[in-house]
Amino acid sequence: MTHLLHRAAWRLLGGILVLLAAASLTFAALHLTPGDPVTAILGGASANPTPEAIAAARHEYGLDRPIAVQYALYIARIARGDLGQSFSQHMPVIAVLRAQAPPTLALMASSLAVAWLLALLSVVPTARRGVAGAIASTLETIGAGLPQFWLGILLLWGLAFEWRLLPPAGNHGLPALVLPTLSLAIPLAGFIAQVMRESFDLALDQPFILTARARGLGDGAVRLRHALRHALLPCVSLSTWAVGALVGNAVAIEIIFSRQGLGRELFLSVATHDMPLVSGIVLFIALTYILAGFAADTLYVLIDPRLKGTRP
Amino acid sequence: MTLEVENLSVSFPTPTGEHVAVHDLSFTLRPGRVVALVGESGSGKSVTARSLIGLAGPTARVSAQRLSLGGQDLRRLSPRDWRALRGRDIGMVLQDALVALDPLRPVGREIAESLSAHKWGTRAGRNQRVQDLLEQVGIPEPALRARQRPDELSGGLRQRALIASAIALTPPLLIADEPTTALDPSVQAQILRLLGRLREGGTGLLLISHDLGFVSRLAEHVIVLHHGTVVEQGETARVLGRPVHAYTRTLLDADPVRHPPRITTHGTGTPPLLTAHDLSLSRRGPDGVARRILSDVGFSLHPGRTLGLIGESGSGKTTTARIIMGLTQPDTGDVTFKGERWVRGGRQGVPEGARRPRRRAMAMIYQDPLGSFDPRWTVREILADALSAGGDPSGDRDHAIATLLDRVRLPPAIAARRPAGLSGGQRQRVAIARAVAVRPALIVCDEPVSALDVSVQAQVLDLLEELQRELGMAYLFISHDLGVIRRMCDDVLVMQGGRIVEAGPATQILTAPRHAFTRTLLDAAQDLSAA
Repeated sequence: MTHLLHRAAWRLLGGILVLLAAASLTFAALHLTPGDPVTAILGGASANPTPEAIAAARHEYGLDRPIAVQYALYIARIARGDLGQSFSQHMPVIAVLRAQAPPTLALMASSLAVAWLLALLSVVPTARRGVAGAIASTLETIGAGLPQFWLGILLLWGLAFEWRLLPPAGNHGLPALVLPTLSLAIPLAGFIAQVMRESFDLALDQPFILTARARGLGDGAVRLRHALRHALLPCVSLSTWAVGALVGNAVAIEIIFSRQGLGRELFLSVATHDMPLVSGIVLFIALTYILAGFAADTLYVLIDPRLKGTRP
Repeated sequence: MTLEVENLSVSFPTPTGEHVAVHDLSFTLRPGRVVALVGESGSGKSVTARSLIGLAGPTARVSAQRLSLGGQDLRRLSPRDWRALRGRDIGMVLQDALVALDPLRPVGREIAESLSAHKWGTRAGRNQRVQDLLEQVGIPEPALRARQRPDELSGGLRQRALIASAIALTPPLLIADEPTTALDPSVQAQILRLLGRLREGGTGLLLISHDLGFVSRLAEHVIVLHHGTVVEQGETARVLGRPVHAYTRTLLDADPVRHPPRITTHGTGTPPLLTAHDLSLSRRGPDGVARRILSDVGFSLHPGRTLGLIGESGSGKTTTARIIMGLTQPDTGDVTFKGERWVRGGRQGVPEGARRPRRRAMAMIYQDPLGSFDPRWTVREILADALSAGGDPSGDRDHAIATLLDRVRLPPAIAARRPAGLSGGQRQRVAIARAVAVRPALIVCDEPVSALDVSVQAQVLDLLEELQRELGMAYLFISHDLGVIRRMCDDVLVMQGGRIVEAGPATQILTAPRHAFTRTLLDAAQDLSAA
């Protein structure tokens, strides 16, 4: 039990260090951007702030102090949960996150779920089954190679404009989620399915599969109850990576489908040099990624109980 | 229920034509009787076993003049009929329960699946039946064991659990494909007794093995297979006692027990090459509790001699070898090699830099060398690398490689090939060539022949003996096979639970052991050897 607590403590410490690194990087970015950080904070050179506003901002952000003190203050502020003000939105960064995160998280969750569903449907019934396997494997390779923004535009044109089956834009309701989800999920499904197929094939060659068949178990049960579980581990690892990649790809997809969300917000805040908002979004993405890592670790042990105690 | 097989042939299409795996095999298996299929890898034993339950694979072409079970013609079974037959009429046990049972599931669920696959009973009824089965195969605390995974059980318990899953529906016939391979001798003896009990209970047994000793203890009828063809078959005592075919005799002669014991040629008058003193090691388990793996292990080894290390799995043999190789740092103790300190326990270890000049005087041979070769390298590259590590001064690398290959009796053409394309015996010879390339004073051999067929095993042991005579190396020799130890070793250390329980000359330990544990090991080996 103390051992488990020990491990949980280490994981927590690791997560905090990752957040600290992300915060430090955005701090560095803020201070390495060409020009006066204050101009960046106040909206870039084009914003033409008054000298009073510059002085006020300089004092508010502690920019008249040594850089080490500034860094310490910045970290201390984040540790208190204060991410600062977004000047372009004229509201606290926290409030922007609260409004923009849910649609992006919903898009990520539905994309990941649909990608898994497609991968399972493609691999489980066709692995090691001659022509069907070859066809499915080819489709997976093609799917993995599709650029997501291109697929998004194609789906938009076909399903939304030509056939008018689904709404082309917006955030309202499930129908609006379908096209963005498919654009993100189809290429990801290709990746997951390729990894799954390889380990599924390997699992089907294992002696315990022969034992299961020798018991009189049917082929479907052999695949679902034995081989599948052995094929899941690498797919879970891949999904952790995918959570990170989905945020990046959401930038293009949210813009193409005019959706609200962090991807679009990140794009806009970078374009307007709204550094408090950029660093707030980066920290939020880092946090999501860390939580995905925790979830993956829990899943690993559920799938393969032998890993209990071996992972740090 | 009798299984009748007449002229069974199995072939597989390959790009170069039809590969015949089994050719015209005939036998009859009756309840309460044991038929053994004996042969080396690639002889078609396992293909035969799978064909009998319709699992030879989708590409296999199975034909027979007669293939019937209790009067039912198996040649015309639909996939559904085969499924109904498997597990209910014929059970199957494979080797190594660690991988033959699903490693992610508790053994109880695996056994219950044998029942549910045939819609046997209710959930509660199946759970009860699982416990009864575990008890029947001699597993204590069945309720606890049913919830554990194969890796949480000892080798003996998990092999019993595997047998329990095969006999869950009390099939009248059981196919056991190498049921004791890779197990410790004492566990092998237990499984032998369990299978014997099943036979007495009326189960017909098709026993597949490369181990003639094991077969002779159980089977009434032996079939010797060589490259898919039956070279000899008949009553066990006759086939093994008065073999007619040359191949059967080769198999019998290859048994190390039939080889004369080691004749010691190098004395202990010279200063020892290697001395180990008071080696101890503890490691933290997954639960965080420190466990003693090795306690006060000490011995010395003189040039030209072979020291055998015996004991069950987990007794500390491989850990000792790793400490000797300088790969694992012990908590206490020290090792002196060629007159200088080589390993020192605790924090003040000998730095690797100080060892490097003498590193090449030590080499290692593993049970399965495949994992120790870079798969992209050819044999030439592997040996060239070893030669340069050994500081080979000769400019003519190709000549040196040819000499090495000749030394391990391999044709020069092997140099261009990669390890994955070689047979097990050839691979082990390459591993030996690599070890010898550095001209070592000591080779640590960790189960060097355990994964090889008996006839290949005999050849590799011959080679190791010859090389020792020619080059004067000392061997530290780990093996669970007492026949191999008797043939190869001057001295023997017996290990149990990380301690040396007995040490002395091989002749004394193997004929007049003093420690009770050594006697258990010898008894188990006795039970298994050919009568």
